[in-house]
Amino acid sequence: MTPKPFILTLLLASVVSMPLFALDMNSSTFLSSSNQYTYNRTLGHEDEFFFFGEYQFAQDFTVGGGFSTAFNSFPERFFVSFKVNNHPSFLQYSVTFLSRDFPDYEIRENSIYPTIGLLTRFFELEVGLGFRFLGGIPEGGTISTQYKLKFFLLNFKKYQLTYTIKNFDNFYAANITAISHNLDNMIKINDNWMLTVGLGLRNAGQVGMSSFYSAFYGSVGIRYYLD
Amino acid sequence: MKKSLVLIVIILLLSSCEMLSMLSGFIYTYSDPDQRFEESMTMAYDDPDGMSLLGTAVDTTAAKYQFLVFSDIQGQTTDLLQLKEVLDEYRDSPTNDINNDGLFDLFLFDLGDSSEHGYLEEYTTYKNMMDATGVPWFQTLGNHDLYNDGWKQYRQVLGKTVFTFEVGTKGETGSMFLISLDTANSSLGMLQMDWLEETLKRESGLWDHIIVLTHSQFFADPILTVVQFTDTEEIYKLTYLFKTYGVDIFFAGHTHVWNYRTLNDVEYVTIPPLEKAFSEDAIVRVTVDGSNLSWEKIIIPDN
Repeated sequence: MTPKPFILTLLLASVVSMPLFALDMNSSTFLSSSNQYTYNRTLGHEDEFFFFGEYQFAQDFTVGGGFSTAFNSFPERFFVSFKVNNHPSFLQYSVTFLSRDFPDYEIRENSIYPTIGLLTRFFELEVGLGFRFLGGIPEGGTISTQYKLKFFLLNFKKYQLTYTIKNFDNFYAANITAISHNLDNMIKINDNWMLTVGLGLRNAGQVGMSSFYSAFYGSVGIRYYLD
Repeated sequence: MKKSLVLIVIILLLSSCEMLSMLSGFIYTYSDPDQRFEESMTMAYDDPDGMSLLGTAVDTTAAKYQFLVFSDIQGQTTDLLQLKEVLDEYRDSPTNDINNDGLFDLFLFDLGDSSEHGYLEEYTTYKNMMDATGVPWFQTLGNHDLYNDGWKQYRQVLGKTVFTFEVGTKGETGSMFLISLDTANSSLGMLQMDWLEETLKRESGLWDHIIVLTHSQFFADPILTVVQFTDTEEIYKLTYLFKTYGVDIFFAGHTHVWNYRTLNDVEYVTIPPLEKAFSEDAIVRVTVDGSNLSWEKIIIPDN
């Protein structure tokens, strides 16, 4: 077979086979914990423990929640989220309430960010608005655009690798310029357990988007899927 | 056919050089805040050409004085028309006593983006125009000033980007301590953050007024603004430091949109640009009258 048809065949096979051999767990309800080490070039380094879970209480509805601590206060972050799926199948609607405590700076940041997601077998795109308020500081409010674009680089039965460009997740909602690049590994141990390993970089905003990364992190965690 | 395609591609590339230049400067910079901070700390204050580019102090024994703050000139032409207009018509001077009160602008402060592309000729033109005023002037680094390896040219022509200077005598009524920060990358970097904290801790309570001036702003109202400080935690640390050590006003530019808010008794003033279309152009005049500190927004109408 000549190179061009071979490559095309390979691509077609991967497109067709990906959903059949994609990472799949028994349920959508899970508990997850991870430890994340972050190095920020201005603020220094930090170790933070995260615990969160999602519960699918109906076919189309999922509720999530979690907290974190870097042992400066408890909890330093906590969130509650609600998701609606299958209306239609390729869309997901979500709203997250997040609170973050910065005890060193005497600030508590509260955010609410509704998002809408486009779900495909190759990528997921989620966009929304983040409404951020500072507790006790009336003029500290801001509104930011939130975005997340995830590519499924590898998606096999026992392993998934994704590349995500984002400025938010369950535990933070940042300014539009806080673009982070993330590689996340999901390694299936058995039908209930999964190992998670993540690496990420964050730029310093406009000017030097590639020349000056302001922060990077590494995380390792475990996830348990309830039957 | 192939030759035609190559020619078309070449023409497109040449015509988009300006865009490519801007895009490359947007994506890549030659320097980072830590490196520029270290270089700044080794640079002399005084301008060897004779004009006080950066004096360590602006002498005054007057109980009342005033100065101008403006931002984002981004001069793309050699005439810098709007800067010239500000310096000739809005600057309070002996030849242009705006209020007929004998009170003139003691110095000028530019919050950065003095050039559009970071080119040497842009800095030279700008410096010559500012020097011609004959009054002390100060400038800090903006993101446009870093484009096209602009720091190499900036440090040659304009020098320090992280510095402090004083007005009046420490401890006296009306005395002022000013801090210029480098936020061209929308982040201070660890060295500059540590230096800022030490400086504020040392000077707090010794001056009647403390003002911080820089390019990147903390807050912006427009939802889709792509120009602001990146790290919210860094913003929170800075607002905490300003509150703790008694900073009166934080001046910034960058976003090309006026914004004003007060957090924990610290005023955050974001000044609009000069010489930009589709924006309200404005400058700010700060007046110190003993222990009273006030400022006035002056809108520059489009010509």
